Amino acid sequence: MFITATVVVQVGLASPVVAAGPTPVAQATPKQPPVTPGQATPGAPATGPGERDTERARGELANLIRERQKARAHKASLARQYDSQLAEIDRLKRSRASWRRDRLIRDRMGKSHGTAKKLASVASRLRRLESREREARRELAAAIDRELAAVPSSARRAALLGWRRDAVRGLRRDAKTIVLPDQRIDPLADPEELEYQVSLIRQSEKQLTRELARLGVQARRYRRMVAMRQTRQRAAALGSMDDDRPRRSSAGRRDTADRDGNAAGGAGTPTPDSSETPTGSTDGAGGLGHDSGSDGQEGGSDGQNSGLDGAGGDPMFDVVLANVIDAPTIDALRAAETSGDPAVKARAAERAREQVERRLERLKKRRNEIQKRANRLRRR
Amino acid sequence: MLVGLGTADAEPLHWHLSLESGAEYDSNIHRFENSDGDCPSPPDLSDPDCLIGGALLLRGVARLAVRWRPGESQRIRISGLGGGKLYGPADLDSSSDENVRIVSGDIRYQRMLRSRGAILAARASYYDTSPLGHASPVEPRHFATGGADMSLSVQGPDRHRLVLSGGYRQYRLKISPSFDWRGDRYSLRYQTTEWLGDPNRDLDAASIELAVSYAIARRYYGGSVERTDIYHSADAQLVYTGDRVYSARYQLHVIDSNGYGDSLIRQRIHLGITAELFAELFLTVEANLQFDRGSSTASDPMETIDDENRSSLTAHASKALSDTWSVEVRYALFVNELRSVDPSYRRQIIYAGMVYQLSR
Repeated sequence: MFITATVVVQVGLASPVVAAGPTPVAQATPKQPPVTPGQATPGAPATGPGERDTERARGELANLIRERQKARAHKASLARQYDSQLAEIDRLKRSRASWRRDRLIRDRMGKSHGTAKKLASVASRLRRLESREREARRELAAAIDRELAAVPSSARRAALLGWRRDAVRGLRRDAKTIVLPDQRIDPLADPEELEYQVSLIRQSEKQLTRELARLGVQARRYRRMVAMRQTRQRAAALGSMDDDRPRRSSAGRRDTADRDGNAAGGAGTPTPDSSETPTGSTDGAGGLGHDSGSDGQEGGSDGQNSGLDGAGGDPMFDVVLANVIDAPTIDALRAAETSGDPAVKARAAERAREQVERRLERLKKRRNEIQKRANRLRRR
Repeated sequence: MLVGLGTADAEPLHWHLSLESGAEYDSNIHRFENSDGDCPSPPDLSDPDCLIGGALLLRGVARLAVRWRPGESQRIRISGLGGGKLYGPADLDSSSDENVRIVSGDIRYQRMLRSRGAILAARASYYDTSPLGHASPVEPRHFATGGADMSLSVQGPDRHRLVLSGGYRQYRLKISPSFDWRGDRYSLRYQTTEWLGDPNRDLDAASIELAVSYAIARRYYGGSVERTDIYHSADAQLVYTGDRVYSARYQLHVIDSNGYGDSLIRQRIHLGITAELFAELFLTVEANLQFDRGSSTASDPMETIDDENRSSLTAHASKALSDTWSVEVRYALFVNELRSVDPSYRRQIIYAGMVYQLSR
């Protein structure tokens, strides 16, 4: 059994868009007829500073997309070459032992190592290009926002909105799924192959560590929000038992005898500004308490927000961690993304964080085992 | 219209139990007002200024809440509390009259109408305060109230929610049936939540919740005087939750009574802030300012409408010691500095206690 050392970062772009050439964001605008001075059109040369910024950002993004596509194509080609080299080595290892076979294996392995290094280098360059592309998309979106704030013409505005949509959509599609490498120890693998496997696992550990940190920060933040809201509701609940309604009686309100019978209708009466049912019970983690004046008016923050549109509906953790955490946790993350309730978000993030942490521990343990085997083989 | 309703099959029962207890010092246990604040020496018990006394008390409450989804689109929630306040001896007067026992219960049923993007709810509640101990007399503060409501909640896109509700409530003042009332109540509430930043990406995202409502209620009083009060109340509330929680609320109540031609306009402003000081020690500070303006044609000395200005400043700090235990302290100051006429009022409460919570 041979180690499949394929690397592992799937970029979630819709392939038709990728394969079809430059995205609409980077398309050259068609020539337009002459326009009234001062009136910007999509195809006219950029006149104002806002337009120049937008066009510059578009140009930069287009260049990065082209470079990224070239790098991706190069990486795919190297990956195919590497796979075929590995397949050949595998075939040789299964063949009858001989001096010639061993010489060929050494030769092919040397070449495959070279290919693996090139592949790693291209993959690293691709990651840098993708990071720069994401940044360029954000800059383009910001430049478009600035230009939109200057109230351009309707035609220009329509173009700007279209470019912005494509730029932001590209950001969403860039959610990378973390794919864990093969962790099986191939008994036929030599030390170099094992060490390459170790390096792949180490890369995945770094990705998981980043996601773990992010999940941890998010869980802590939302837990803190929940705690603050609960503290606030607790303060209101304690106050409901203060019973600060006046012991009002008559004009002779200082008469002690009035305490016993002549109390006004207000004494002890829960007026509209106190809880009609001052149970002091709290409902979920909603920021708006169900105290004064809210009788019968459900805030419904305890889970009823699930199913509502989230902020842009952007996939995040559920895409990135699709191969790391189990399906129910992915469902919880998806539900949390559409929920406005910090308690729901905190629980989902904490659950995912625990699973990622466990997976990371297993990965580290396996990496150490593979490294130990590689060291043992080297000492022979 | 987006149907913003979650989907869920039947779920097992979830319950939450909270036991809280603490000691408190109340500087004005009878909630008396005074005109000049001076008590002659030696004290004269016929002078109410001498009865504005403080005492230590013990406070204990048990709260239980149970949640259950019997099936898809249904939810039942039952909550209740039982507790009381037990006063120690006061300086000059018997404080045992203030001992109070509180019992309350609340049951809510919700059904999601998916095809219409709405939630139908029904609720019944009861609240009762009684003397603590058989020997304690019934005081003017002891009452019982109960009622039922139905509401229809419609959810729109982007977390907009509209709630229409109507119900009926009864009130009984145990010491005198003259102040018992019953009546219907209707309200309309709009609520929404906006996020600053993307809560799924930005680690500094914050939420802003806005709620506005209007309610109208009628209260029919029995007794020798036929009286119907109409309560109008308008309420606007804003809560910002980010690194801290900031809250602001404005309430306007207009109370019209045909009892003696009295009416009252009450305005209440609430400002609050909750923050984490350090090491999960949370502090909540709230200020309530209340302005009352009443008009009365009553010549009868028995006033029937609250007409005091009661403002307050409270500070509450709490810290969780473990998953189940937490400790809290609270200070509250009640004044009527915004009053237009005498008498004055002052009351201070200092509380320290612990809370034990269990849930499943």
